[in-house]
Amino acid sequence: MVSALLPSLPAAGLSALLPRLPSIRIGVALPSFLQPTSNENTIEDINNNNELDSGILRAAPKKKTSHMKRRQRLYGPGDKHIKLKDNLNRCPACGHYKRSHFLCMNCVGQIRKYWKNRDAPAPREAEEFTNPLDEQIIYPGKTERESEKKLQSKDWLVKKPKTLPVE
Amino acid sequence: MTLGRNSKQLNHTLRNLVSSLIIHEHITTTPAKAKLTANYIENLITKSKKHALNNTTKEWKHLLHGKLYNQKDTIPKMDLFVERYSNRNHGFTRMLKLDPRVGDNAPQVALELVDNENKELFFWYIAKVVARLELQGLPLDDLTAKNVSKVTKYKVNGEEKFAELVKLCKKEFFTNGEGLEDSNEIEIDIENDKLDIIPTPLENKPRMKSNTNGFNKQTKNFVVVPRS
Repeated sequence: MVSALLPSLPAAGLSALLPRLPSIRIGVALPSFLQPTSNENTIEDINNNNELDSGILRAAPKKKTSHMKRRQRLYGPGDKHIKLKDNLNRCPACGHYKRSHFLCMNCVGQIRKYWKNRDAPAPREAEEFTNPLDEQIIYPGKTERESEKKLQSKDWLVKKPKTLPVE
Repeated sequence: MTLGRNSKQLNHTLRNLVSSLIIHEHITTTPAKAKLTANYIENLITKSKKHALNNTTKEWKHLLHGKLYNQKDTIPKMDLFVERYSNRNHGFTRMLKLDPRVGDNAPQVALELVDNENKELFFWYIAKVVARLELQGLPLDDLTAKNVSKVTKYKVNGEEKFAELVKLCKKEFFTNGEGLEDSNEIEIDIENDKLDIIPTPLENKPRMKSNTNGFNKQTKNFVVVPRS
């Protein structure tokens, strides 16, 4: 600090004119990390006290990205487009389009459907009631609401698109 | 290699996959998992064969307990595999590429044990191809003939089973306009025979709508050369 380095001034009038500085009366200058720091002037405080005119600029876009530039960026490059499939072949079994080196999903679907029916457990036999009232009491039935019926129709499920035959 | 898991989770995943492959003999997964599973099960079967055919070692099934889940179902099946694959040294599994999964577009693969009785997709697919060719009265092409021999070679009564399956495929998949419109194609063939013109079989049809659209230019009279 200045005051620590300078020899002490005897004149009281001069010292009043000078700005007030924290005075440490040690002969040797302290290294910077030992000197007391004032918390008043940190960046956070400046921001909190006067946000608008802190004198510090943060990174921000200067202009709104125009319609043209945005679309050029997002939809211009070719590698972002959906690619054309040129590995299409004809399924030797059903004659539909299929990817080369892949199995035909139409045939796979048919075969798996057959397996599912073949391996399905046998349906349970219906119980026989001598008195029809018993059945009504044990199995009173259920009224399905519209929303439940809609759920069971499973229209909302995304399904695999059907394959097309090669003309 | 680790499928985004730590070693503990990876072990559990693999054991689960292998156990369900042993139980069902046909599973659908992603190719990365399928490759690991195939390696795992090939190793198990090779070692089981080694132990089972070696007369000096009597107890070997206890070795599988740490490697599989559902031990009651899976471990007895290893006897079956040892018997079934006595003619093979390796290649007990087969991977078939499928279309990517709907939703997240993840690549999918069907992994199956070769020569299984219940669910062998490749066996069924080739049978379906042969069924179509027989319905149309066409001879087998090179690739299909090779595939047929491949599929029936080591199977017990393979050719008989294949013939039965071809019958079933004709009945199941080629009736009532399901699959190929076989009735129309047969009619066309018959007409061609009458007119003494070279019939236009299905494999000579163009593979694309037009053959001048930039790709797959050689669309006619291409010869499929089977790998040997």
